Amino acid sequence: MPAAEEPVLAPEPQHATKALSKFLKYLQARESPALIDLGPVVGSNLNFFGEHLGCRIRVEDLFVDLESHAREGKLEQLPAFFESRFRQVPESIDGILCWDVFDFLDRPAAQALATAITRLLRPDGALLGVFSTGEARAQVYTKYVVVDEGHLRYRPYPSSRPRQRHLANRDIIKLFEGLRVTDSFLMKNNVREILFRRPAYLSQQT
Amino acid sequence: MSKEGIELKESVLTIGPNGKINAEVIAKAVVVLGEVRGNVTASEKVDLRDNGSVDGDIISPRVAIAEGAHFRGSVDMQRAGAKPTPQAAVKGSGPQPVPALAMTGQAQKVGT
Repeated sequence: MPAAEEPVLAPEPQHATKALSKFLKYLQARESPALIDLGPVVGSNLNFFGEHLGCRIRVEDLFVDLESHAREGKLEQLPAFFESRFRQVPESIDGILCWDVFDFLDRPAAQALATAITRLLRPDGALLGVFSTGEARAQVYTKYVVVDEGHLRYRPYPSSRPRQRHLANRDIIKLFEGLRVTDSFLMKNNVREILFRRPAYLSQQT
Repeated sequence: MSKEGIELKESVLTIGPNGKINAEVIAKAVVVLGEVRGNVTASEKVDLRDNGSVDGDIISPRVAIAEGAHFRGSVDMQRAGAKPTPQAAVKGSGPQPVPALAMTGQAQKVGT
């Protein structure tokens, strides 16, 4: 956590989401889907995905890693860190929730993370990312709290890492070279929700 | 070095705010106000309270995680009616292992 005085955090606004329902649709088609959440733990989300959808969820909370690297001045080590961060077997994960983690990464770290998590996805697996399209004023991370499949509550909390320059659409697509974009929504709050799928014919396993 | 376990299948185990467990935990219900490094399996519920911390996997039909809690690991809430499967011992370096306990009684508290 930053040593500076605590920022005044806005109350939790509720926002519509269009990509989440499509992401959920892919998960519901699978038996006991395996899901990775790259964001911080949100208890009600675990219940939503675990209890209602029968998902097995792994919370990886990359924001903790990002904070520790930022505070220790080791951000340049993030690409190498992400390459070995995940222990899951390749092609074993049905869904990945990235939320807005890529907004906080510089290009090399973003590419390393995208490559690492793409490898984890099963053929036909889905990945949901949220990407900002403008400059953010407050230096905060966001917990995305699922209200229902059409709504998210944004719960800000302090960060020592500002958002990096926002990525253009073509840059985002280039990051996830092994995946194809199936849905992209520009929301009224100026975030872009993008749903990626791993094509079934691009299995790495022989 | 293998990690031993705390097994209290008929009891509610509370790890108090000063409790630090480095072991597999199996109980009827587990309330964590302190720190657990290891998998937590409960037949009824796992309740991770504010300032509590779990680094490990949780297997339980019901899981509650407070806003200020730390958690990193996987959660398997299983389909209703399924019995939890105790986790295999995990090898790894770290602090001294906690010897396995087989205590009876309704509620056990550690580190209050």
